[in-house]
Amino acid sequence: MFPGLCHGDRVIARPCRADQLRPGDIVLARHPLDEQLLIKRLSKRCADGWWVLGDNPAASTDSRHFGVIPDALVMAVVTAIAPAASRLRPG
Amino acid sequence: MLRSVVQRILHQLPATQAAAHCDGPCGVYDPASARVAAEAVLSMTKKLLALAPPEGNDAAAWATYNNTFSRYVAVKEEQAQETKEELLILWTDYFKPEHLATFPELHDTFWKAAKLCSACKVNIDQAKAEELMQAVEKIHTMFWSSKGRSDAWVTAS
Repeated sequence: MFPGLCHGDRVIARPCRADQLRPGDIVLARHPLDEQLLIKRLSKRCADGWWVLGDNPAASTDSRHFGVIPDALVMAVVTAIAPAASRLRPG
Repeated sequence: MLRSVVQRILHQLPATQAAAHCDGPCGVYDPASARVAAEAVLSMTKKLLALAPPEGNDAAAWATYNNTFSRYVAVKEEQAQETKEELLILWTDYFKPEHLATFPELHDTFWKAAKLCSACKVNIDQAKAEELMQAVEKIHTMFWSSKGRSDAWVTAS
């Protein structure tokens, strides 16, 4: 998800209804195949869920690999990002 | 200042980890890639057995023969190695300990299949190549039945 997110960033997310989100939102969702918790950006609305992409296409595993994420697997939408301590300037 | 305090508090809170990108979370596995490689091994083995050396001492004919023979051997060895790698990915990454309950012969099947890859790589042995295809078919059946499916075994050749 770089540059949108870096490893170690923390996010605040609120539970949401998938049909009320917009492209561009960052969501926490369950992987459609192995149930791992993912963080991805919504790309486009599909009939059966959301097409999601990582911000860093070359390194990302996303809907290009596992397809649409069904609405029921979209858990929460990110409302704030707390950068990892390593990204904060001292003081 | 306030921002920094908030950040510090946030980083103290317990949080669940979410993966943005990681090694192979796509969960896309398919024994088809092992099957294609194993088919190539069988095909190259048959071609090698069918390849007749030229009669006489014609240098050009021998060069062609040696070239073709070497190519067949190179492809056979490469594809045998490829089959082994594809099988190892299924064995070590896809199959989980809980699968052993359903398929108690899982480890033995993969181990023997990997050994067959080596045998096919080293030798020109059609019987071993056919055994390898049978082993890959067995793995195909286990794989799809672990997903609750019964996909048919289809070969390209």
